[in-house]
Amino acid sequence: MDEGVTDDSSSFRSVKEVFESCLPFYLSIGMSAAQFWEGEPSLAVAYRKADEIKRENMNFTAWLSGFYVYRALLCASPVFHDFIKGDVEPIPYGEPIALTEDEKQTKEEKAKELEEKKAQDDIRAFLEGLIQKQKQREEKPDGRND
Amino acid sequence: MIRFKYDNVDYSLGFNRKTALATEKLGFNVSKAEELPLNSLLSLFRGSFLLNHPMIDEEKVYEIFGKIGNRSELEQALLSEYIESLSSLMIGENEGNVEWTKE
Repeated sequence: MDEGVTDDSSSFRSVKEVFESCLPFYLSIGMSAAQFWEGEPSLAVAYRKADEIKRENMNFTAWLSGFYVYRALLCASPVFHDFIKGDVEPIPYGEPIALTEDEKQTKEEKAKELEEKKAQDDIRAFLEGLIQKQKQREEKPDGRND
Repeated sequence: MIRFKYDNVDYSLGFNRKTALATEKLGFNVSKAEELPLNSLLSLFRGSFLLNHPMIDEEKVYEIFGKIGNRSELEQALLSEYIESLSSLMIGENEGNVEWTKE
């Protein structure tokens, strides 16, 4: 694709030819004819950069789509084995992958919260066990521990 | 943008691609810019009015040209503005991926 113009002074005939050869490319990346002819010349640079960013985003979206299909197949794959005996469950599909720093932070925070909750639940269960044993000791006045 | 005042009127000279094309039709040839003969320079000067002062009389333009100072710097400034309409279409300094060194 003719992305802008690279220096080729041997084929340069007129400014008209240069502009008219570049126009289709800039129209294809979203610049209007009015912007091309009557806008600030530097706008072309911004449109080229914007086009590059769009292509990168499209590429990443396609990759992500493939990744989710791949993950879905992996998760479902246990069910497709004919020779496995007994009930087989597919692997849970899981959460979307974190794409932004905010999402990553939220995911990390959630994981930390879960850990802390588990730790608190363990402590609570331990304390409840202790209280239960103490109660049992108090209910047996002869001090026997069964 | 080149700005000056003449006869109590503010002027802004420059180019977009449309006026750069019109300037070429007036007789300016950018591929011979290094030579820049007088008639070519006049065409460039006339063309630079088209962006913001399209209705100005040709005689007025010549009158201003005759009286404007720092003509050699003006030539370079106008040329730079004109070339910007072309060079902005070219892949820029930071867009290439071939690294080079000077020895």
